[in-house]
Amino acid sequence: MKELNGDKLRGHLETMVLSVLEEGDAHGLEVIRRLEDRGCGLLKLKEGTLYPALYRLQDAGKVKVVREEKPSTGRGAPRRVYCLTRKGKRQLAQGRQEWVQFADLMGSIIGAPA
Amino acid sequence: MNDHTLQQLERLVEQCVRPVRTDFADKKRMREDLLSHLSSTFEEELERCGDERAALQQTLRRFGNPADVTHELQQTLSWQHRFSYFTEQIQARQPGESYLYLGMKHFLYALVLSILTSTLILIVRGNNVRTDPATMFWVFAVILAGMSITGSCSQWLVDGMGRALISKSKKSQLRYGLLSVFLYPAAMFAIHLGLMLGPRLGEYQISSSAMLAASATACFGPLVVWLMGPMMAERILYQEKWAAIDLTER
Repeated sequence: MKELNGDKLRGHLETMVLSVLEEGDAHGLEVIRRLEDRGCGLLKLKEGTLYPALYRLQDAGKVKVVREEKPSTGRGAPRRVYCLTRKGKRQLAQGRQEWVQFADLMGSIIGAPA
Repeated sequence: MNDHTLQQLERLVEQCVRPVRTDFADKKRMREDLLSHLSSTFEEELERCGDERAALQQTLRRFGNPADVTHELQQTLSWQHRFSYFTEQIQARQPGESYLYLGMKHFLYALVLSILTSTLILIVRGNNVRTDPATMFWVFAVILAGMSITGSCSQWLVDGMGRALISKSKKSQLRYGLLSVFLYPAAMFAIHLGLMLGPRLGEYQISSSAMLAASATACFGPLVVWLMGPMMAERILYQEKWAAIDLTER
């Protein structure tokens, strides 16, 4: 199978981030790791694009910073650990529902039911 | 991680964050997040391949194009961030800017604000305004200009005090502390004087209670300067550190 890059993920990144945060609190790099694990190596995300998505979610009150962790090297800025809020959980449920509808619709249009 | 690698990572962070039009606190958060992420990615790559140069290349490749990140960061900003950025550009001293320039900027800002305020009052109140427009404009201009110039002088004193505290120079601390004693009384006397020189000269007089109140503000200067000095200096040193990164360097 071909790798999935940023263009194909546009519009879905925020729901994907919410879904991996449902698994537990995580900092940015951990979010990337979880996404790649779930993507079975086919998901290739440019890591710099994660933070704008996290900021959008944070501004919308869907995720929040729970704590800051010192880097393992002891050098540099602390890592912010994000968690899902109630609003984020509701958004995730809605995102899942919308995805099922979208996949059904696309499947019926292009003749490849999900 | 050696210093060269850290510099390369900081340069990449600055490429992403510097063009974003948002306030100081937001940019600081972005820089911290991106640098912390890149440092962790680099450590991960170094563990995997064992070569610093290759690990750095891989870290940069994984991160993506900084211009795209800048564009996306800009897209995340709300109108509050944009407004905050705009006011910060006017009010706060930017790296490399002189205090004279800052004072002039504040003065012009005060003039524009007083024209707008006077016009707004005239539009809203119309004929019910007892004071003539020229006097009203003068009062606003004098008060706002006085406040804004006091603001730039405060910034100069606060910055100077902060740097003196960091460098532990007792002489400079004393100098800025003493100067700050005169800041608010001088500003209040200047405002009173400005009002006296207004279009209706002679009608406004400085009362003894106003002079007493102006003198009493002498204690606020050192308090503001001592409390805000270290905070302001750290902020300026932080801005200067990041502004010193040359983005055109190859």
